[in-house]
Amino acid sequence: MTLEPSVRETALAAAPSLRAFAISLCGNVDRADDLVQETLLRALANIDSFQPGTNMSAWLFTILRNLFRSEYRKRRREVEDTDGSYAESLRSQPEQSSRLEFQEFRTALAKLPADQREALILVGASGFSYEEAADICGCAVGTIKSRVNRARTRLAQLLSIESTSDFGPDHTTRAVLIGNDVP
Amino acid sequence: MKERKPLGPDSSIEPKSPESSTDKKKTGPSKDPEGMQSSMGLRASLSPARGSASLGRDIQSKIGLQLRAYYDSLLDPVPPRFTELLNKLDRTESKDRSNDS
Repeated sequence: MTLEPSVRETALAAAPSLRAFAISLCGNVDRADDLVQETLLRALANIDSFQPGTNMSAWLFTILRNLFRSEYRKRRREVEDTDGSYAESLRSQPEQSSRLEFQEFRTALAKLPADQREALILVGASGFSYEEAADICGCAVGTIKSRVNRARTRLAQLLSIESTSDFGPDHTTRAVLIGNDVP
Repeated sequence: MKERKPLGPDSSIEPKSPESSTDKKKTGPSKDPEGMQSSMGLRASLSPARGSASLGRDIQSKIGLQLRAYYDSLLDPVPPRFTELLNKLDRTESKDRSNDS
């Protein structure tokens, strides 16, 4: 068995996104890097089971997600770093002006149930289709869709994101409109 | 074509209402129920009580933008050990193969 250059390049190309996914799953850069390393080792050891022509990136994400899940089951609530000590270790910090918003978003994201969070990230940030995300998570497409919907709804609540285009009027008017809408 | 707008401070930060002044506090809390109610009404509008009703498009796109900004911030170049790992394995395997022949 030899590693095709294209396979290596694809794996390398997928690595940053794979790592971002890992960080968002476990909330800790060091642990995420270990997870990525183990994922790459597993992938290379099992490269024969990879079907050429299929989505390498999705395959790697599947391995990583399964590794994370089995590890997560082992340690349960031991390590989740929700208040984000990892932020300091990141090099590309957001601009000062949006930092508060960024921080709030990260905190809210960490409050989501793990299955909703991973579905939302795979579809909304990693760029996978619902079908690919379903493959990665080993569940039905409909399940992914409902997890993504629930994740968005919960985030909107946690962040108090309000609709700006549906209603132009001020808050009081909106409250009245909403009040009237209640069955 | 997707347009990515930078997350500006205007996108979701709402200015605090100037009416919620602290000097009114001393007149008693029952004096100003309206402000409270309107903000509670807003909260209620976000509750998931209406079954599977989906969020408005603008809310979805705000969340989408924030999510991608968050994810992008994590997209640092991978540590060199991963590149080394892949290169090393590649070399090892090439050597194995040349030994075979």
